[in-house]
Amino acid sequence: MISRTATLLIATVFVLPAHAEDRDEAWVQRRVQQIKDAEPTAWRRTPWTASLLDARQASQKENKPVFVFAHDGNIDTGRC
Amino acid sequence: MRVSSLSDDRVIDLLTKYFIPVWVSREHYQLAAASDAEQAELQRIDRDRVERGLEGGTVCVFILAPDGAVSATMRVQKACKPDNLAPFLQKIVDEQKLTPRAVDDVRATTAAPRPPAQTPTDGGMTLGVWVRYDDPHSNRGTAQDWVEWTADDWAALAPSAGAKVGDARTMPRDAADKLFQQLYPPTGRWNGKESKCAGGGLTGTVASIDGGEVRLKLEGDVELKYPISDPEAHGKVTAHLVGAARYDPVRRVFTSLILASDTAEYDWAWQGKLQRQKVLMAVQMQR
Repeated sequence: MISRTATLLIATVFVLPAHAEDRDEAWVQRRVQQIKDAEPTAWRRTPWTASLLDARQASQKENKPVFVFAHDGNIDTGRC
Repeated sequence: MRVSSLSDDRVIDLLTKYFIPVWVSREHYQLAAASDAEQAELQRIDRDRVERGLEGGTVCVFILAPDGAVSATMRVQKACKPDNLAPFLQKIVDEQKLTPRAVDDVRATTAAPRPPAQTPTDGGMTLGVWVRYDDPHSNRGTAQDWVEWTADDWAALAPSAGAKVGDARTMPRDAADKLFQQLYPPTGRWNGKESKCAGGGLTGTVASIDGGEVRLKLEGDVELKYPISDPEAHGKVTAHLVGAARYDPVRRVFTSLILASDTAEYDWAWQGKLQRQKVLMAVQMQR
């Protein structure tokens, strides 16, 4: 029969999160990649024009309306 | 907008087929300054919207006719909901009987993602910084910034000639703060200049020396004040960072540096009540 102490020891090994000492380079690399990969990218599928003046020029040439999203900050970096 | 309406398939499809889409940052935050002509055009659009009695503000969707006239607008509070923006665009397509753009025209006007305005100084290198809430339901996405460490900043972290395993160097406070200042989560306020470091530091310890490479283990603690909605209820970021760096002692350059949050939280107040959110942070040297 496994003693209560042994049970606690097994639980500690498998349940408790790793300590900072276990955060090796491979762990940091994985975590950095996971955070970078979580960046939303769907909005980049829209064929955004480089500038307002470029958009106006294309609009006149193609006779199509311009969609302008004006904002503070910078949507490209998520700071908005 | 970018995580909600602008990521919606219906909106993307309509913008791609029938409109010339463009986004405009009024402050050019992290971007090169706009030309005088671009600024003047934006001011003309704002004036035209007001003269036509259309709703709007600084953060707003505008539809411009080919002659430049503002034909429709939608405030961001409405436009950020895909179920508002998609029908708004579809109505314009139907009413104006718009036909799809030619594929070649779309290709010719599509821009590459805009690069950051900063270019490193001589001997300096840039760090990319990513911060997001540790919440899959957050609609704030991931914020990205760039920070330059100058040649002197990097030299302060570099192991000395003859360094041994276990030797440690602590970054000067101003160099560490340059990085830490960007470690705030994406909020309705965006300007990193509003954040203030209140404590913490970054230390590099030699973990191994193998041939032509020195490996450092990095550890840092961040304490940052960053306001959110109420300037009196300052937000506070606290984080423990772990990381690794590789250094070439012959060329005297760092070849890689990564940092990630082991634990990170953002505390702020809403109507007098403490709000605590877990945050994820990543830093990577750009090459």
